[in-house]
Amino acid sequence: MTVRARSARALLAALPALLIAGCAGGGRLPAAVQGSAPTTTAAPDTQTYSCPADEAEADGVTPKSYEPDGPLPSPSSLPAGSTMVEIRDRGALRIGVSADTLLFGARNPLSGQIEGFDIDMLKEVAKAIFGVNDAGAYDLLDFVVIPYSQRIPKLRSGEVDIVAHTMTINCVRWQQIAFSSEYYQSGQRVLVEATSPYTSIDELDAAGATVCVPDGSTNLEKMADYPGINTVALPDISDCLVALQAGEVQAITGDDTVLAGLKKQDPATAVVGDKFTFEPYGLGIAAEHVDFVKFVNALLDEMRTDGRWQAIYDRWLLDTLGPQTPPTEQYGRVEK
Amino acid sequence: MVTTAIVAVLFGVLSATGVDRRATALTAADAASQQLIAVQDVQVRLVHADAIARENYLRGGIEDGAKRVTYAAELAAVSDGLVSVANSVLSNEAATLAGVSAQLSRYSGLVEQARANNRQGFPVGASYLRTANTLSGEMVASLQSVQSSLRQQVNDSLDRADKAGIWLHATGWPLLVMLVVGGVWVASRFRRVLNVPLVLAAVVMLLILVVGGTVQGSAMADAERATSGPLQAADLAAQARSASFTAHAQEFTTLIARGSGTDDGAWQTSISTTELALDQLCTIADECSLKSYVRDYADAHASVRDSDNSGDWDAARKSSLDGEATLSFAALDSASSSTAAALGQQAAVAMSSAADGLALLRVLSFLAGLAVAALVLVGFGQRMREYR
Repeated sequence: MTVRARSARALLAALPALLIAGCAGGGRLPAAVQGSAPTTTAAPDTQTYSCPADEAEADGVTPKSYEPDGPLPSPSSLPAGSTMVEIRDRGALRIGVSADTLLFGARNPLSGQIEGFDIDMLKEVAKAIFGVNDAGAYDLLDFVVIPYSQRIPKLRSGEVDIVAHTMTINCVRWQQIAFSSEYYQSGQRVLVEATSPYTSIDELDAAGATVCVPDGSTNLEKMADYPGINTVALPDISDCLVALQAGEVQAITGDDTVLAGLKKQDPATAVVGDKFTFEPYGLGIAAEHVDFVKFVNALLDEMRTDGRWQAIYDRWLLDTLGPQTPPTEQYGRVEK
Repeated sequence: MVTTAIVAVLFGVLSATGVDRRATALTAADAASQQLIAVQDVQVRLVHADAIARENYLRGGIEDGAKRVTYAAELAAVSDGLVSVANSVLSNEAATLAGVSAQLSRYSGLVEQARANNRQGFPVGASYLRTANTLSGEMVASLQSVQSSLRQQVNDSLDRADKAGIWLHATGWPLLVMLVVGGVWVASRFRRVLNVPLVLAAVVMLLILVVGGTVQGSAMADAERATSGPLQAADLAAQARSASFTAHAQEFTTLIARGSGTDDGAWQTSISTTELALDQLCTIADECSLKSYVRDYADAHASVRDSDNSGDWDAARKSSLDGEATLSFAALDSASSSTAAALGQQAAVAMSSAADGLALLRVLSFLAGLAVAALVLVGFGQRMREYR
């Protein structure tokens, strides 16, 4: 082979290597990483509850609770072996409450304490069990802040002794837990801007107004009775206040208790019209703690007559909801 | 003879064009990578500001003044960063960033309304904050879409640079073969072993192919190494940092929503993104130190959740705002900040230096084409004169 031929071959042999050097390939940026949360498969409560025919109440009538066996016992004479003694021996009353329902159960950002009508009711329960004063009662409350959906499960699991959480007493819920007698009678009303021409849900219906209502609530179901209203459902009723302040809706509808809290946050609004639903609130207690239900009912009876209920109402709700008297107790439930 | 000379001139033009295209594409990749880092910086600052807004809300009426100053500074940096990046990106991305700028004004307004309500003890502040948080989530999604586009631009530019490299070889090697074959033909035809100009032309071609191939191959390899090395590392560090702030913000949100939001899924998703990004960062850049900081923070967060879930919200809040969770997240923030900054700097240097040397090669390959054409004409001309 000549020198020329060898040179030509060497060049041809080098060609692929040089081509590769010129076209390296690879080295690209991958897409962004994306993590994920571990999937939890909590067993859903598949049991459905319905109201037995013999327990069904007429619309607008509060279901009956357990009648107290007698006057409220003093803290030093609680029945041995009772739920109340168990709580007293534990040293704390475990309560399920809301912390974002202004006037009923909301955290005061300055004091750090959760306060409101519901909280004061529970302080009275603590005072009756532990025999302490008002200030001491707060320290004996073991707060468990829970969402609406956890009110019944937390009672059934025994994680809390009692729930005060703007909770409506009804026959279906009585199949799962027990209730005290009615401690507040709420109902659905309307919140509008103070200068609004509307004064009732019927006027809003007739005018074809846009009304905000919390999504997934019984309040939303009620709107089917007012077909003229353009209903806007938002996740939380506070979101409705944001929408009202932004001028996106002309009114908000919800329980008067919650509307009172909204009005407190925005003095340029007004709660108007009569209640057009019936929402009797009760303190929730585990179904098996009938003795505790009777104890709380005896306490509520005392509070209705000695002015304590009125004082608590006036402290929290008089300014926004106007004068109101304690609801009448409904007894006669038979222990199963 | 004339054909070979024309091919030589063509080689000069095409190879120079090819080198120029590679240089342009690598410069575009560098520009897109810098824009990517800049947009990531905007996102990190935005989620940091959002986390501080939630943290200060959770504190209630008494805010941390230093944190509030940091919040304002981060928002200002986001605003400036959006304008700066929007001026350099393509029109689609610029439009997206302009949308984010508009949302930013609304976001800061909502946070202020949340703050004002919170200071008066009004829970409606939480709704304003939630609306602001939703908006920040939308802004982050927009910024992430811009980042995806910029990653694609980096990759597309590298692909273009890759393809442009073929011009030097596709024209150079056939020309060299023509020179060799032509030289052999001339030698056999005219019974002369060497034609010096033709040999010189072949040597010049061989040199430009070898040296040029090496230089442009090296530039390509440097760019790709920079992309899969420092740039990807910087990308991952920024993603980890952003996701960690999102997780931290979610911790505050869960505590703010006490009673109406105990689901920790959003935190877990964000911290999982952080961990994934740091795992990859550890693999590609041997930067593994941040993983332990995430584990420490995750442990502290678990303690926060345990306290909250068991009803001791005050203990959970204390740990989150001024306790173990605060300290462990601050350590993660500090470490990830310096790591991300260092990696971003390395990426910028590595990407910008990749195209070095291609400017000279572009001139040399063009001149080589002209020189080879001249030598071919001279070489064949010699033989033709001898023949006549």
